[in-house]
Amino acid sequence: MNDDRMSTLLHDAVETIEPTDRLGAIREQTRRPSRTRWYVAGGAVLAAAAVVTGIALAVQPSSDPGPSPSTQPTASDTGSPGTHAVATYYVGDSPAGDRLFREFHQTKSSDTLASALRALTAGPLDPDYRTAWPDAAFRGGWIDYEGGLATVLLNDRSLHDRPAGMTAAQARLAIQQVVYTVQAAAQQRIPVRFEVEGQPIDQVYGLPTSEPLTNAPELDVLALVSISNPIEGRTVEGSFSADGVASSFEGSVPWRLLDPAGEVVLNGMGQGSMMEDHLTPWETGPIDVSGLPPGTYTFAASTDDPTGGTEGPGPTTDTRTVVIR
Amino acid sequence: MTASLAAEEVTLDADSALEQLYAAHWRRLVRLAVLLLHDQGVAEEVVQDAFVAMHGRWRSLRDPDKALAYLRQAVVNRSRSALRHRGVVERYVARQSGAVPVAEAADGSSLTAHRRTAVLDALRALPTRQREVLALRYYLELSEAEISDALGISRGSVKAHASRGSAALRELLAGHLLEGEL
Repeated sequence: MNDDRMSTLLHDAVETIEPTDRLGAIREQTRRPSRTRWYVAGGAVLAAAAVVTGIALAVQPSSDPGPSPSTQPTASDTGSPGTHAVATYYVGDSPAGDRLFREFHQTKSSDTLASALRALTAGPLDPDYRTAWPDAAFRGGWIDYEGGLATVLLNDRSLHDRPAGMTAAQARLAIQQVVYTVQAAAQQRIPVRFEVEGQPIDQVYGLPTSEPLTNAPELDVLALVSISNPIEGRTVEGSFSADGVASSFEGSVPWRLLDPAGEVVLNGMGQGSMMEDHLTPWETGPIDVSGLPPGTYTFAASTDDPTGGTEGPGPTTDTRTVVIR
Repeated sequence: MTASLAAEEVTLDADSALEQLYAAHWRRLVRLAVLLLHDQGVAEEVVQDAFVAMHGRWRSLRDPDKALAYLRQAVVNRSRSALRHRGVVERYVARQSGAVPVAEAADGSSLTAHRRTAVLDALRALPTRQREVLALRYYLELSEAEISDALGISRGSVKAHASRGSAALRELLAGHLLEGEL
């Protein structure tokens, strides 16, 4: 096949493709930011849906010599086809102070990074969490796998200095909130750089950002237990199972189900493994709730504390609201 | 005259640059992404995101040629990461829905439509790099040097991927081409 022939074949293959006009949508996305922008632009609609976690790493093309996937877990959904789950990290309380908890969101966009950043500023589903970033913080971002660098575009320089009332520790955790979220979207422990209008910015929230930022050790910044499933407000019938990640004594994750009055009606032990330096998956197996009256319950998963609280800061707990039908 | 033109170029703002580049290259870049992704919806999203990113970088690009090179590179990189992230669920969906429906619907000639589908399917079966090199060389008609810049690989690799890709494509299409077209 000669060059002309090849050229003709490829041109023919797409000559009937007439793209829809997206100039309006692009203008919308490049305009000064507003809250609604994230939700209307580009068909990137975030919606809560049930997620099932697992180590569902994307398949790397065999011709790609890029870095191998890390053990960064991602979620695959059982919901509508064409959507996927993006992990976003939020700030929540733990006995060791503020830590990052992971929450999954569903998106239809092919751009998982943009979706994750949108979710990051839009805020968590779980009311126990919060985000350290204002609505209009990010313009977008991209991942350069070949160059080994992820870029997050800030909308402007307004986040250059640390706002009054934010401590240096809170600023560090805010930065890590972005780093962990971006790395989950990239499925790699890739360094992250902040840019404003195409130029790296020297500081964000008063912390130096001239050099690409790496993730802090998991055990220093992540909550020691996070629930992936059920998602906040999930309706269940008959039975449900829960899972997540944790770093807990002997891999045990004690869980409780509290009724609307706050009384423990069921409890058990989730099981995972235990690693020295990072969180690992745990799961409960099926929890039978068919004998319970309908209502709004709270599922709580904790780290195991064999000392009973006499040593160390005590157990970390993550909770989800579960509606039993 | 030249001076005022130059001045005009320098002051071309991000919004105007976006509109000009959109008018000139939107369709072609979407078609490029369809060759890379085999899915028009995702292709449009990828190119849309590339335009948004280009707008955000306009201040450092400033020059429409550089901006176009950036757009091309962004479309290729984003297509690659879209393929990566599409994962199991969408691979399943793609298998269910078959080829790009728009290519089949838009043309009355079923022979031509079949060939289009066959070419897109064959491209999809190639390793990512070969597909990228073929699309940039034979669809965008870029030079080896331009492809080498866009993909960040050596010119020797461009040559190797192009020749391996052409051979593989020829083999995959053997049943679909008429005698003498090979």
